[in-house]
Amino acid sequence: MISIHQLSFNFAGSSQPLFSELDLDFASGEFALICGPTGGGKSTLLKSLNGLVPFHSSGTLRGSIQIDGQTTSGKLPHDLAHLVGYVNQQPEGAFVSDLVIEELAFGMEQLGFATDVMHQRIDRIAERMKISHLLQRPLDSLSGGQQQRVAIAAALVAGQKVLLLDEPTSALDVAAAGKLLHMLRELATIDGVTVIMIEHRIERVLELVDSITYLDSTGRATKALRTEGFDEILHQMPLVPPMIELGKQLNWNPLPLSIAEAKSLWEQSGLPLATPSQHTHIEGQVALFVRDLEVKYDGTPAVSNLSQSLAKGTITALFGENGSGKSSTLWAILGETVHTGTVTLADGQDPADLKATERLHHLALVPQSASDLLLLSSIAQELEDSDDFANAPTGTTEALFIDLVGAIDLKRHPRDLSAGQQLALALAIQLAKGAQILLLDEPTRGLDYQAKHALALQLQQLRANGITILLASHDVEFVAGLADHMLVLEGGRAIAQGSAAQILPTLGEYAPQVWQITQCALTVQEVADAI
Amino acid sequence: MSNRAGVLTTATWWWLGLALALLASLNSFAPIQIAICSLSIILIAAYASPAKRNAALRNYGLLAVSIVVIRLIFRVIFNTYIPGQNNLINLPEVSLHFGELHFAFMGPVSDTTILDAFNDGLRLSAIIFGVAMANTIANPRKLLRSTPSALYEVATAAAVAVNLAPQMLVSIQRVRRARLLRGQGNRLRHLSGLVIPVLEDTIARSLDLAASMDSRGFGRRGILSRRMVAVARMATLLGTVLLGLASYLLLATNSNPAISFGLVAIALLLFASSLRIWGTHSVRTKLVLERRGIADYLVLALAFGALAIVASQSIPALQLFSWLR
Amino acid sequence: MRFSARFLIYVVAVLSIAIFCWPLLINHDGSAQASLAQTTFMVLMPVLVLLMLTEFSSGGIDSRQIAILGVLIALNSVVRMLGAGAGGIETAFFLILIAGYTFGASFGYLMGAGSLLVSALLTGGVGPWLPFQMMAAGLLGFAAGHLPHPKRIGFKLVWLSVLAVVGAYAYGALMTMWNWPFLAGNGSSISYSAGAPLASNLERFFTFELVTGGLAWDTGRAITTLVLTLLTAPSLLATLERVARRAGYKTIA
Repeated sequence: MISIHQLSFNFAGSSQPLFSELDLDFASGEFALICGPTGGGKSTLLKSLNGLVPFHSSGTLRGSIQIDGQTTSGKLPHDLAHLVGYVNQQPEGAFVSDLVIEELAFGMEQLGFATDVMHQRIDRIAERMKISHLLQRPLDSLSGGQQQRVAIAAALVAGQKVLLLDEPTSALDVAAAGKLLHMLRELATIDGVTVIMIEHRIERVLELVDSITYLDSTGRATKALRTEGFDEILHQMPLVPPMIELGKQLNWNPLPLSIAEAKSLWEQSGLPLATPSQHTHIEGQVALFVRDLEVKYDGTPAVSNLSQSLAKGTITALFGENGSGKSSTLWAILGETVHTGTVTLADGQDPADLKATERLHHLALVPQSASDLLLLSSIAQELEDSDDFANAPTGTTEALFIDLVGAIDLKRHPRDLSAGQQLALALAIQLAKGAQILLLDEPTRGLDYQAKHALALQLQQLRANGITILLASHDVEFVAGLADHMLVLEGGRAIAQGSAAQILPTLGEYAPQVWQITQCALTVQEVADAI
Repeated sequence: MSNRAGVLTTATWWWLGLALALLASLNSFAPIQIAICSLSIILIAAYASPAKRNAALRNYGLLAVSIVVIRLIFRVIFNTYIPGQNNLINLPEVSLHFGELHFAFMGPVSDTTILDAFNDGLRLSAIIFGVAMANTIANPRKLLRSTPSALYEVATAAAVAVNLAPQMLVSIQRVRRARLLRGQGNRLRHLSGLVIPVLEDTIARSLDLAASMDSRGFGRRGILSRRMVAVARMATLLGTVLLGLASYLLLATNSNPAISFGLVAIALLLFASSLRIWGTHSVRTKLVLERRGIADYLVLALAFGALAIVASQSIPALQLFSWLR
Repeated sequence: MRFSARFLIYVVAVLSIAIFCWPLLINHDGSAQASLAQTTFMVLMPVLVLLMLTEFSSGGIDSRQIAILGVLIALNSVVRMLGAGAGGIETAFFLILIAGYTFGASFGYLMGAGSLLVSALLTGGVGPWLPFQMMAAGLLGFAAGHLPHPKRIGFKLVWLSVLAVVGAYAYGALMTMWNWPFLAGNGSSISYSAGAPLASNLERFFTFELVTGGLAWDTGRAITTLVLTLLTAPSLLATLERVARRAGYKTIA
């Protein structure tokens, strides 16, 4: 169906190619996964299949691409629209209309279909994607999962034979992601659509895809088909989900492609492990005390009855899905949102009573989009402004920043930095005044495995320096390796509280993969240590 | 649009509103104006969705009342005294002299003055009510779908903007909150620090949108021959010249208004054909979501029929329906 | 843009300004005739707006331009809503100026007309005045595209400031001119007087503006626009140029 021949791409003004001389093939009805480190060119490769590269980017594409027998390289996106559908990470960013039915019709209108044909096709694809009951609804009233299904339906409504997806599940919760992936599997198997998908969280898809293409940081691509076995390619990838990592450590052959497979492999290996010793910390004094916290928006409670005490030099995780009240809790503790209940610092003060400048001596918050905090046009300016504002000697913020990311060109524009680097800059700025308590709102959003690993190390270092950290996240693997204590939120209420080692196992299907497999360890490191 | 309003298409509601507004504008007969206002109010009450109904009635009602009141006050204050009239209110006259400029305020106010002011205010209110009726019952955003093909791109930009604006508001709140963390709050000199991040984010997202639109076929063009382009341009130019002529006749000379209207009608036809030609430049079709029915045709016929009758009454020169009198 | 399109646009622009100023140009006495003219022009202005929009999009607008246009219009609507209410604080114009200055006269017109349309759609302020507002704001953006582009940012700011003040007053004058017959009617000492010499009508208009506080409102609008332009232009101009360059879209600066 798709033949890629000697494909190369460089960004404008750069002699170093992003990838060069790629040769890949995809069959009709194949469900293909493309994965690899950030910046390796996965998105660029994907977009070259429908003309968005080079026509909506700045760079040169060389080589040729054939889809369904026609040469498509060099054609404009709108000339390929009848053949290839494209869905981005954020579906609401692609919507042009008010209602679902209008959105579905958009593509066909551009292609000049007749009205009754349009109605027919809309009904058909809506049934396929299970959105028939949503047709007359306004797009902004749908949930993330529903919007994603609408976007996919809109991309395929004109009978396209190829579907390109760039991280389709990144904004979805576990349940919605699972449903979506199964739907994609059916589109490939039953309807014969060639589905090509970029994903980071590959543990969800390994048992569903027909092939894996790995694009490494030097721009080389390797492809493996399920029929030939994924072991080789999985061994080639440096950063893999815990399930695979465990398999690598224990030399399992073949590597497990699902939790169920891993479980049976574990049982067969017959490794009895002693329950790992709890990480004992020297419980220091209380750095922050929260009691009966309640936050209401327009009368609807977002957080109710929350109590927790944070010990100095520990990391506590606020765990829960989107909308469970994590952000509201953090902002209320900071003192920016109106709340009832008490929040007290070590010296007895309430952060809400302090002025912003005062407060930064005690508490710092890094919001969900860290880049919101970055306002100036160069890193050096941000660092200077931060020192100014903190009344700190010049270079304080810079020292903090370099500590976190290493040497970096300070003349660069903050918005050109990677997500991980922006987060580090925001962290440095917020910590410049010497705050001893750090609140983080979903810091792992947008980070790949490598950046998450680096962030975990940074936070461990801060903990070692005596900083108390309260971290809101829905990423259980990140929390498993890092947190000392945990608070699980659902609908604004704390449904479980205690040490991380106690809580994580109780999370059922949300528990860390290693726990689900072994039932006695939380991370691969623990297993490795115990052996 | 609420379900009840679906009895007529969006376009029909707006044509009706336009006809009512024109009806109001063409005459100064108070009972007709009152009838138009009442009709609009009744239609809003019957067909608008409950959420919008109360707000609309309140706002537009207030607007109408204030217009009439302001008009009256104006007339009373900036009155010109015409001797020999029946004086209703006797206000002292106030004269002000600024060098050569002489202004006279107030003075005895006649009943005709008050009646005139009332009528004028009523006229503007009726015009506003006509449009308000259409605006409340049939969301004008839907009209963006019915724009002529030649204006598709502009309508798309407007549709994109309408969708983006609420998202942007959320972005701005978010960035403001973040800035509070750095203690920068709402100080004026940091204003650009609020606009820039939001702008950059939104532009990045909108370029994603452009990519997605193109991926779905946006931008396909048919071929328009040079000759057709020239024809379209000539038609537009000719139409514009005729409009200019019509305006001049209407304003500057005492000629028969019917001539001006004729010129305007021809100009509109020329514009319509030019729009048609530009429209063939695209290969797009339209998903028809609202089909016109008997009700639509009836309403349109009634509305424009009434318009024609009233127009002929107000324009003695248009002896179209003289046999109806 | 082709010469014929340009020519047409200028003709329509002049015609629309003439239509705005009909109270000054009308030569009849007799309120029936005047109200006829008023009605005709209320119908004609939307037609002229549609015409301008068609001419500007006749060359084809690519999706990136639509995207940037959509974003700027949305931003302008939000800014306008944030600044609404307080007398004279009209925040809707500085973005139109800056957009027209960066991207050219046609973009400027589309930005102006589009902004007024979209904010009316969002706030429910759709009324007979809308086509007139759209044309006036559109002409403002159109004018901004004609300003010279000196190398130094300081001089650019000078040009923008001049248009900010002149444009704000011009917009105010045009919209008040539309309002004038409605509010002051016929026959009062500050109404327009059909058939009177231009000077005398202008005098009455000026008095009308003065007395109804329109002048104060216009001055407020001019000051707000000027201040916002000066404050935001340097960084906005840089941002727009950077973003446009990255997408491969040309600016005229």
